[in-house]
Amino acid sequence: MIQKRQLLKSIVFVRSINDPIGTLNIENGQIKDSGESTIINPWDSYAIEAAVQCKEKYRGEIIALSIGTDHSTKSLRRALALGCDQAICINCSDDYFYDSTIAACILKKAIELIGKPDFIFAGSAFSDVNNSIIFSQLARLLDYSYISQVTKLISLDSENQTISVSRRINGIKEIVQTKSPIVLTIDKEFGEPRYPSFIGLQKASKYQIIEYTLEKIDFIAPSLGLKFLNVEPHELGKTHCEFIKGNNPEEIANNLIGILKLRDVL
Amino acid sequence: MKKVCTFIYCKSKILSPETVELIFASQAIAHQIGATVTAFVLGNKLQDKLFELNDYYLDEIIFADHYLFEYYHLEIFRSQLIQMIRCQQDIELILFSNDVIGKELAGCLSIDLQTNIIEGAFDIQIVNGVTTCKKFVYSNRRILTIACEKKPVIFTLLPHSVDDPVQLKKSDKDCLLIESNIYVSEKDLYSTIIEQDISQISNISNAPIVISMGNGISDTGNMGINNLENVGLKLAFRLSSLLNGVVGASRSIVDEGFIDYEHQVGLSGKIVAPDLYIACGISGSIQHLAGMINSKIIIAINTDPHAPIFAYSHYGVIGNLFEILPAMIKIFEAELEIKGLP
Repeated sequence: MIQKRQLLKSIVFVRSINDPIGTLNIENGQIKDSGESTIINPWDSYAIEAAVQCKEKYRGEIIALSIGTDHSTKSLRRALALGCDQAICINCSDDYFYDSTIAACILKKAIELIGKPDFIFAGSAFSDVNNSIIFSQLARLLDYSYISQVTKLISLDSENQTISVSRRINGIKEIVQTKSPIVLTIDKEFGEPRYPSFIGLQKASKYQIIEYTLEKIDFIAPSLGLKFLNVEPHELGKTHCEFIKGNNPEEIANNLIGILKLRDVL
Repeated sequence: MKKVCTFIYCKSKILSPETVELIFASQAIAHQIGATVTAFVLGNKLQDKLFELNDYYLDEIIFADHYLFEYYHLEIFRSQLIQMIRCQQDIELILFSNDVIGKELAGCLSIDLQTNIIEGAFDIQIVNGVTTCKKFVYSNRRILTIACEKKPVIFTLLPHSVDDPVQLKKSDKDCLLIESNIYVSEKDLYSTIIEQDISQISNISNAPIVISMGNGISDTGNMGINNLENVGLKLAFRLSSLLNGVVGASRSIVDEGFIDYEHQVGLSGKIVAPDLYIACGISGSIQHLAGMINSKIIIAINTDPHAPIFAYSHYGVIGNLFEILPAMIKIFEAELEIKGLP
């Protein structure tokens, strides 16, 4: 199905997210994240899986891109071990992710320097900054098509530059065809991501990760930054639990249903 | 006059609860600063829906009624909406729903309008011309307060974050209905929907009753031959059909493949706030709690009396779900028989 053209080029975006046990502070209206304990963003595994599946089927190269300081190399090495060909890290604080417009601008600049790819794969959310719109912003900045929550790659026609994917949109499953280049965010429903092989891990550990600085990508912060005023812990409200008792399951069920009827929920 | 705007995509026959929530949120914000509420409505054959929207005391509805808006395509929705927004002045903020369509459009429009965007916002306030809002970060463990000065600000509204509206006063003027020009044509459309499967499970984020299953169902002896045969899930589906509810699930049983991801309740799944939430065999991890804590009544059924879920529930049953659920089902079945229904 795929015609011969130059090789497909994909970028997969990975990022280490901050573990919720870390500390989060605000200085002068800006976020300062301790970044001490970081974990690989669970959603990114699905993005890597999609990129690798695409490579296996249609050949081409995958560049793993990340942003952050030392800790982001962890996700990049994992991406390399799973089959990505290159790894690039934009060396700056990833506190920018709290303001997704700025983060999207940084990614756009870096991607322009790398050379525009046919596909950009990403996970569907970052749970630490609670953001999933950044990739729609990136797609708009690059003037790419955009499909979020992809559950399956169906076919790819690089001659006509079209791609079909299935996705779930507000509960409805649909198959949609659109043109590339494209930004895709991959949903959990995509399927179980693979584990790195021993050889993959070994190769990845030796790989020299390419570093970009903000100067190198010629990034100037846009003037529309958000101001962060306060951060407070969120305590879930505990309630008083009334235990329903009875001598046997039938009696308990009866008592429970009785109460629910009294409270008018049944 | 300042305007608070919201975007409404009319797809189904009746207005979805999310849409109603968007309207209420816009009205609450507009009330703070004496602004008017404008709704941008896209869809096909809108007549009936506009009539229904009329009951919500909006000040202005700007609608685009065209067959191209029958199905959602990002490229044409965005092009149409940006032109509709640019025709307006003094927009303070634009509210979108926090679903796939809302987020895709909001993200793209924030770039077109070169403005700030905040996803999953709640408690939006405008004080002295500065818009502030709150949002959850760090897996819902922290609340961040954010200020933005740029106008118009774009928000996607956190679901179930608006309290029921206080009595709305009908404004003196009738709702102004304005038909917008159509700024897009067939040639702007480059994506095609090849297939759409609408025979899906009911959307769990809107259901009034959710019966959620957790690790308790993987009890040995009740596993069944395969996942479809799982006794616990069968009970949940039976009970949910009797109560007109839907089945939810904790992350662990979704990951183990017992049930589809669409059923997952929690931070990485769906955020729900039904009238009744029955948690069966769910211990209550913070991620799961974050997805259902706003439910009106929470019932926990668990064999472990120390399960954290009990601290967040209104009613608790210390017992085995394989005994309690069948007993409940029996009672409801008996009731239906009396009513003479199947």
